[in-house]
Amino acid sequence: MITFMNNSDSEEEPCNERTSLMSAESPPVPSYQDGLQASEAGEAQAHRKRRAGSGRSPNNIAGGEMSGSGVPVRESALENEEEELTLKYGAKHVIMLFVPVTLCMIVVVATIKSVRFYTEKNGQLIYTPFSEDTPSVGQRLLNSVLNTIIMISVIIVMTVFLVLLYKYRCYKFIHGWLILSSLMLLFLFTYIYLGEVLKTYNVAMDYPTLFLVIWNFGAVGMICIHWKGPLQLQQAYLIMISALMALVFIKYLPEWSAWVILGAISIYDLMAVLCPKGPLRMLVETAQERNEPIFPALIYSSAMMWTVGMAKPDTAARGPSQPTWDAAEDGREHHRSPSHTDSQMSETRSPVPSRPITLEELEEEERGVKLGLGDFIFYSVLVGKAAATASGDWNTTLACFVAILIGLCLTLLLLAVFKKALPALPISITFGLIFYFSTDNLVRPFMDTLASHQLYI
Amino acid sequence: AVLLQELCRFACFKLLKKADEGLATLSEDGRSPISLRQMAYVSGLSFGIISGVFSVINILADSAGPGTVGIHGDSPYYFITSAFLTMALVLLHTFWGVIFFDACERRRAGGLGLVVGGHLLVSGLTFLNPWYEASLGPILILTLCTGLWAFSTAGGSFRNVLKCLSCKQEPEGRVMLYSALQVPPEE
Repeated sequence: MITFMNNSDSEEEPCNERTSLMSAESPPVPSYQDGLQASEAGEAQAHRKRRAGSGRSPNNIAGGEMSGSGVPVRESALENEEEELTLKYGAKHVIMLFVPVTLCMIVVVATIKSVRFYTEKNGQLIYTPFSEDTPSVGQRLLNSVLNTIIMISVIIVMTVFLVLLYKYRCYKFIHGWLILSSLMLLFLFTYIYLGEVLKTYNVAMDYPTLFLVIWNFGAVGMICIHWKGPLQLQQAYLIMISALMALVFIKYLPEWSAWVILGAISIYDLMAVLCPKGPLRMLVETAQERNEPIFPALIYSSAMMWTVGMAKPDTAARGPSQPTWDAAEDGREHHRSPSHTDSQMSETRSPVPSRPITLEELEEEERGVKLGLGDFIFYSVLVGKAAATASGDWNTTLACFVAILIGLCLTLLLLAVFKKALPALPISITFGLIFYFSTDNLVRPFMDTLASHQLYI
Repeated sequence: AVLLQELCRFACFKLLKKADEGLATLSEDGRSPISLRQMAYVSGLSFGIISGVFSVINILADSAGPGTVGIHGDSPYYFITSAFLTMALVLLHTFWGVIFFDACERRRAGGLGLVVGGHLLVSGLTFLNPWYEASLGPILILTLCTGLWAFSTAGGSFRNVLKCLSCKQEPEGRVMLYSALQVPPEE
């Protein structure tokens, strides 16, 4: 039961999907700070023939577009102009992704710093059965590695299951799964979150008000995410559920396991997206072959599809009500439900490759970039863990934040060069981990000493 | 540490210069969309922001919590002087960025030397810290002077300020204010 509601309900759908897949070019990131960009952008033109979308060769409509845009690309006069255009748009996209990632991280860090609940240890997920309360360091390390192995294998199994379901067109099942998990996120986790926040600030709220608030929040969220809604509202909801999910992870993953899992997840992401037999890559390719968008609840898109703008200019005005997700992303979906009372699992996780979406309108080029929600979640887990457990407090948190943004920038840069689905996790998480450990152990004592004597260097 | 920072600033300059050339070759009329001056300002500002934030954020966090300043015999003016020092440092980094890039661009070692020397001087002054008159006063004066120097390096002058204040045509002012070497990109 995949909800293709947003896509199958309108007659423009087929156009949406096809034109959305017709990304003739993806926005290269013009990092003005990067000297290499110049040469890379030059190469990017050679790459322009490559379809933006992994493994999809220009065929049918895309073929026409591609060859059409291929020829002008060869002419240097137009080349430069396109470069500049793509550079301009590319920078915009980096910013468009910075903002939601930053917002998500801010929400997570603010919650961690203020609400005690998320830093208390109240048990663990059943996915991480080994406890870390062991006396010896070796034992603890072993337990965390075992936890990681279990977690990653659960993720792999779930992803493969999802891909199989998708391949064999069990859309109803997937649809139901997604709806169930977003229901849980939007209602149950929000209820817990709201309860804890109210407890922290000692604000009394009666049940009817609470019910009303949560009902409205959840219902609007479900509609926005799975059906149609204003783009910004949908983006806001996606950010919120990513933050909620990240908070759950931060609470329920024991410390060393969390770091090892972060590392392992980024390696897994790298392999799943880039290896030819990787589940995520297969998912994306299958979706592209069928010209279908990938599950709407798992991807954050930064721009809208002004699709049918080609033939019907007035639909461009209706654009805002149809945020579509394009078949660029994936969904490694994972259902799990961490509750202290265990049992029932359903949490959605989708660490995913980021991919450019290019909407090619004849009148206006509105390009957007998509990032999977799993990426949001893991970035926030990294920063949240840094905020929760680092003794250097804010310095470490900031350093991790900057590291993740740098990683994101570099990933988008690579995206511009390669123009296919790329895993967004590895670079950022690697930088984040490096920065976390080095800041916590090297920079923090230094800065503390400086601050205590009020020395400014 | 100061030398390390200056080295990083230099590395930034090299990188940005390369990027600038790259952008210039890419753009249609051979000029890059962002001038070196702007890059100098941005890089100086970012140095300053990160430096300031790292210096002050733990102090801010502590200032929100319960406690008395200077209860163990330290100065009770700790927070406010920290605030001023951080402000001075952020501004100084911004100015140093502009001056540094300009000096590197025109290959004037004097400017470079003065920036590095200024940085060392300011850091040295903060060693005198509980003696705030000696450290905070000179630092603020130094900030002001460096600011004026950076302003004139960026092409500004008293006349420009007057023109700006008297609300004359903007483009003119900008031409004279920002670049003596480059024609600014067309509006």
